[in-house]
Amino acid sequence: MAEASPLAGLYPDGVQTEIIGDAEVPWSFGSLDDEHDAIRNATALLDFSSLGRISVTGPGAMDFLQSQVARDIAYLFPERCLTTLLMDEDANPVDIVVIYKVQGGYILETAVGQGAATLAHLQERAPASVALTDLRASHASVALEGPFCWQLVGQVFDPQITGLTYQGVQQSEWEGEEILVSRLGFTGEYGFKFDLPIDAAQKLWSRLAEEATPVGHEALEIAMLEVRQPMLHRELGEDGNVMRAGLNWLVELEKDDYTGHSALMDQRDAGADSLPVSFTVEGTAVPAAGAAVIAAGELTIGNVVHSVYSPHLRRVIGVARVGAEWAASGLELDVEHATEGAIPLKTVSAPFLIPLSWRVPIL
Amino acid sequence: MPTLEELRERARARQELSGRLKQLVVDRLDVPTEAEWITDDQALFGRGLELDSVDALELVVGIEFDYAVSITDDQVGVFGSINTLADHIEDELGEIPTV
Repeated sequence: MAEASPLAGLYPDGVQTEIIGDAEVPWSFGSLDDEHDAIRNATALLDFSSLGRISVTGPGAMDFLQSQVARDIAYLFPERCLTTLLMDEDANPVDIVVIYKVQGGYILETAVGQGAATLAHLQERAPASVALTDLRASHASVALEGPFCWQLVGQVFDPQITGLTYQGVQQSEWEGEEILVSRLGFTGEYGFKFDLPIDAAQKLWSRLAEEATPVGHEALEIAMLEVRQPMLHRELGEDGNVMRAGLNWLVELEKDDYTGHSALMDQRDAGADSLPVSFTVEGTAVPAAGAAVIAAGELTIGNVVHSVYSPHLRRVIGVARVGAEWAASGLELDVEHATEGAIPLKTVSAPFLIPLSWRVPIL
Repeated sequence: MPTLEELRERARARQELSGRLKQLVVDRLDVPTEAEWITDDQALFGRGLELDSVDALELVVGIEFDYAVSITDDQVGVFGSINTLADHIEDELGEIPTV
């Protein structure tokens, strides 16, 4: 059963919610255009309580995590976090996780709505020397994203936090409460995430909402697709794997001892049979997931994985999975649409836009 | 509408260019991965390959040397991915280079 956010009572009137995995998330606060604009041009306030948070402790904690994730965490230190992939023994992607080294062990943060599933996955494999604790009953996450979010961060928190580098982590304090701050974003803009006890998170949400725009997951997911930040629940599909979904960057090739490694190397040695490509479509009709992608009006070369209308770009963007020989930017193709027939599709290069944050320095 | 053969040829030429750019990244920047493992659309900076500004300078030099194509400070979007690098080279040369 999906859990509502501990911050839900603070949402402004008019919020629409959706279920993603085990979480009920704020999907829209009323205006997609305004919310998306806040991400790309101002400061967006995001409720990330739907991210799972799992404490990993005990004498076997490091060895266990090392045996589960696809990047080396041996040299992870408290001032940095790391994003990587969790797989099963057949190299099927289970979750994209962010790992933090904290006093006494680690915190593993899951994707939206994945807390229960990832916890169960780890519990099946954890030895007796490892304790796994679901932190969602006690902690919540609030985030700011946008090219100018650092201004609000500097006003509300220790101004030194604005100097964090990407993936930097800092233990800090806000109104007497300990908070874990990470410089992480999912949209290509500057992003700061704050993890703290639920009571404090509620106060923080109210404080930040005075000056930032609450943004729902509809706008967030569009912004993530614009910079090809992967979303497994949208982009994996039934037959997805690491290479078919373009998740290679989450896997460290030099690491060779973790769940799924052997099967993944077999897949790599066999070569990718299909690969992801980014695309745009003429007009505003959004092709459905599974829609056929057609070359020269005669050959089906793949299918749409996920597509949306971007209010910022004012066009339809998406990801398709095509036969490996066709995976290239700049191909003029067609895609099936349920009511529009075949509409022109062009494969393009990602990211679909240049985030404003790339040009705006933190001062 | 392009023919199947025209599409196949463009895909082949772009994949070759992307492959050479990936090899350039691996050789010049000493990144701990294999060229074939880098994907066309993955981020080069921040997440993804996690390159930095020093790497960017090295890439600029490498691309100028291999393709006689320059990249200026204001062209930040060029380093979005291998694909955007390839776009820049193709745009500057007016075609997909074969060597």
